[in-house]
Amino acid sequence: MAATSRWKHVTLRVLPLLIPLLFMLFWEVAVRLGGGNTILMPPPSQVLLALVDLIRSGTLFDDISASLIRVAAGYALSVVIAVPVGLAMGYSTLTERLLSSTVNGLRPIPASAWIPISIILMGIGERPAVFLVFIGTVWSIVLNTSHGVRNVPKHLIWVAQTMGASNAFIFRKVIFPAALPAVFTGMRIAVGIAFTNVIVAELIAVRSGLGYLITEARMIVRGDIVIAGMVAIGVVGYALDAVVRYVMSRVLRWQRGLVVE
Amino acid sequence: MKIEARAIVKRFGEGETGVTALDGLDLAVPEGQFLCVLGPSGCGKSTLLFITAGLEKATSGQILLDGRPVVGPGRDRGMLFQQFALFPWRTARQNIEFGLEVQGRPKSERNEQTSRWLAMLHLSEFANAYPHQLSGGMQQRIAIARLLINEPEVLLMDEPFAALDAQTRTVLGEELVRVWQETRRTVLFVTHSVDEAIFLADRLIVMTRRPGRIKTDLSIELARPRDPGSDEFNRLRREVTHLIRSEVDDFA
Repeated sequence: MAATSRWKHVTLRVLPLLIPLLFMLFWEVAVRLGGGNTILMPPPSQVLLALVDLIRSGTLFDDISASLIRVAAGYALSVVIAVPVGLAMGYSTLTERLLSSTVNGLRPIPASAWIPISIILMGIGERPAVFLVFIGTVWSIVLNTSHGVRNVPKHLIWVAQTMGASNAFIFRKVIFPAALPAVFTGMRIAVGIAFTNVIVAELIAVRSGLGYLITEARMIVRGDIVIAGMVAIGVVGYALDAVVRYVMSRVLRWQRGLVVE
Repeated sequence: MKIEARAIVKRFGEGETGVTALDGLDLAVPEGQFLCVLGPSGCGKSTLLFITAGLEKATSGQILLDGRPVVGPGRDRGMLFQQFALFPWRTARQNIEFGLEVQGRPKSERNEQTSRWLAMLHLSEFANAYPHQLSGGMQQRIAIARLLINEPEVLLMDEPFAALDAQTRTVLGEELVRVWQETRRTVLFVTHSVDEAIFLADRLIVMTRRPGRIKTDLSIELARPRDPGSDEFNRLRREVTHLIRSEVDDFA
């Protein structure tokens, strides 16, 4: 029994790594047997060496922190603006009527379409990158928040009303906590978008960060660095999402076992 | 009279597609009475409760509470819902003390009173559990404690036990009677269960199908605690069931 369950435990740990490992094995063998150009399409062993080089020289951490600072700035700006706007739109029909056409009209414009105008207005540098993160994340937080407020169960509000609670009290103690899971859903979607958009911005509008690392490597024809940069993006994106999931599970502890994540 | 309903009319929607839920309902409930409202679904019995609570506006007519017209919800009328309506982000204790927070009572007083109500409804060991961790019966006990801690003069109960299993329903009914006998609040209890109504009520009104009017007004004078197996209980059960049946059959 004990042995079986230990094996099961080990299997569950190893299973997520299986496909990446098999893929890298296939890739290594294919490149070596294929005899193609390993400068354009290097084997994973060479990518690993490039990655170690980038870590040793400190370049990788400089680029990661440059990207993360932009993500943090744009995301924070977005949360600070989007949460209050979303709360107001969900709570007040007048605000909803006032803003919904603007929100729904701007929302479908992808971040990449904002790049030219943001470079024209803000030049090359931090500001367009932060702006692209902001413009990409603000909508999902606004819409999820207002949706969350509108879907607060009526009964919960009735309970507070029949206890003589004021509208301000009901907003603070019933509507806001009841809408919080939806706010967090919007914020979690937004983290993914923020990171995607910062990479897009760095491919074009700014000269540092993980996106720039890839563009630069392409220009000097270093396939190994291009792929090492992609790996770094994958790892950092995964870590960011894990952080948000952790924060969510702490703040929404009462939901544990209630909502399937 | 504690509660007086005067010519209450409630229409939902307008014109051809509109529905009249209540059509000129008059009712007077003296202080301390336990009144059960029984009727087929859609007879407007819950609507009457919501208008009394001030959560719904009557199309015409008015509700008087101690002779003063009801204009909105207030702490003097507490309500219990079929869906329990607990705050899922609050523990049992935090749910129960909600009303005291509304009133701005100090923390020490809130703690003391909440502990008393937790004990009264046999919830003490679940004080720090969240609603989703508890059974339906436990959840409704929390909702009852959360309601009674405010000491409302009138208790409005909208099929509060309908979502519970028969066993839990009986136990909670017995506890409700026990607490009511200690406090003697005025109760308006809406149900579609004949047994529940006869077990709980001083007075029982049966409503007609939509539009709702009062069809029968009975006083139930069985001694408490009541025994659902007794001959008198059975006689009443047959009588009331027959009244309801004829109401449903006429329209079926």
